[in-house]
Amino acid sequence: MVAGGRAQFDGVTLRGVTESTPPSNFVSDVLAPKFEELTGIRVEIETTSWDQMYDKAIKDMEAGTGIYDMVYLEQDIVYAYLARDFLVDVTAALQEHPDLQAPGYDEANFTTFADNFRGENGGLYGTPMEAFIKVYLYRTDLFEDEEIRAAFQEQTGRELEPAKTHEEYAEIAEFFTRWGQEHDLDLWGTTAQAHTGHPASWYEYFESVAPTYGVYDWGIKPDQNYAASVENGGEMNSDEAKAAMTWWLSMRDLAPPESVQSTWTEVATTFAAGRAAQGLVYGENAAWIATDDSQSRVVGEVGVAMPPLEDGVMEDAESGEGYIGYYDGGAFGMPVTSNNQDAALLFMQFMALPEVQEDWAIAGSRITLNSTYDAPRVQEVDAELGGYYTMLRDDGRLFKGAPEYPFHRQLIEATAPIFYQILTGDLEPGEGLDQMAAKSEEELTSLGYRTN
Amino acid sequence: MTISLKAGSSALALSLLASTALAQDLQIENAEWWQEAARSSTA
Repeated sequence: MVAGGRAQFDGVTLRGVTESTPPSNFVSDVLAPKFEELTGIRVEIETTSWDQMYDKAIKDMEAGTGIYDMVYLEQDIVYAYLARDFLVDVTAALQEHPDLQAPGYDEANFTTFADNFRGENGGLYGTPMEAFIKVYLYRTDLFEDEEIRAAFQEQTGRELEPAKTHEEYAEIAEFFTRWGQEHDLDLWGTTAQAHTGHPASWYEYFESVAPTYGVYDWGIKPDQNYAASVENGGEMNSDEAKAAMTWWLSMRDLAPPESVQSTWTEVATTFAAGRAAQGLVYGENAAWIATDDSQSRVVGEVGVAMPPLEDGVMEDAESGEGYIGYYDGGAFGMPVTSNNQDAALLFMQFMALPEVQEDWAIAGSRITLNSTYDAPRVQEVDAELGGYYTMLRDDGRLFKGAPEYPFHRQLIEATAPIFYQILTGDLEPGEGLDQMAAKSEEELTSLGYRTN
Repeated sequence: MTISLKAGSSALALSLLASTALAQDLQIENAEWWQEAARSSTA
């Protein structure tokens, strides 16, 4: 790969494509110009919508056009990319080219989240650049307001505290939505990532709500011939799954009206605009919501807690049998079709230098190196955020990323139309989940995972 | 219904300025290695 000689990267421009998120924007706005200043290698990062990002990256890798030198790898899609041999083994590439190994870069620095991006040979196929949990955010100013607390106590007979159960969460949501109506405020009791035509809603249900009812890994059982239906040993349409759906839809109905068109991004802006008293919010947005007054109306008024759970779910998570919520994140990987692999190896190491992590953690609520937890400003923000980073470090093990399914996208595309019909009320939740379970088994049979 | 965030064009401009300043302020240890890596295959 290495051409040799001086000025080997003269005129090289690295191109990457990623979703427009706070961590990615830091790469394009801060790390890329710094890298160019040092090396002269230009780095152009396209930050676009989630849908466009996948479309562009996959088309480039399938066609072998070599447009991109780096693509965003979300934790949930990396298994499909590895199965198709799209990516360069970064560990092996650096071993082959020790002259490109940067001082300060060490795979051992990464948190265990990096293990999501390792192949069967243990090699790392991407540089982790974001990692966060989907947390329960609540408004401390509202929860601590004496008038509100007294009214809540009078109505419910209990203290106003962050919910530990779904019943408590619903009670708080109902209270604040009514409070907003009675006081003519643009305030509702909860957020809901309930878009009727975008997979963000599918994800909220399967990754953040169903697990809190004890339905894990989308209710599919790989060890039961990839069953999804209860009839065949799956759980996608179990009583627990139906209870989770019913509860979530009832929360959606208490959420601000924009929730039916909200992805993860709009949920964050809804919360930042002060329109919800509580909600499940992607942690990549937590820091700016809590600290950046150029974007948020609730600076200094944000608390963090564990998601509400049914009985037994925490025990499942503690034992490794289950999990309490979503641990998401992504890496930058290098397509094997990249024409600038040496330069890309340099930039991917640059992103993992310990000295660039502190500012990045503040900008994007993300931590991928163990040492970042101890950085002074990270600890300051941790205090302002009610311990979000501490939760990520100490309790991250209770959360889980997407299941290791190479058929991730195909299954979502097959079942999402039915899911949207549930959201729009065209299908009852129970009937809809029955249909989704049957459709899942049909798709998994068609893909060759499930045998009749 | 309106969502009135504080972020407007001026806030965006300030954000971009802050980003530029941040890139300049970022202190990279072993900066010389990075400069050399770009010029030579034997960094």
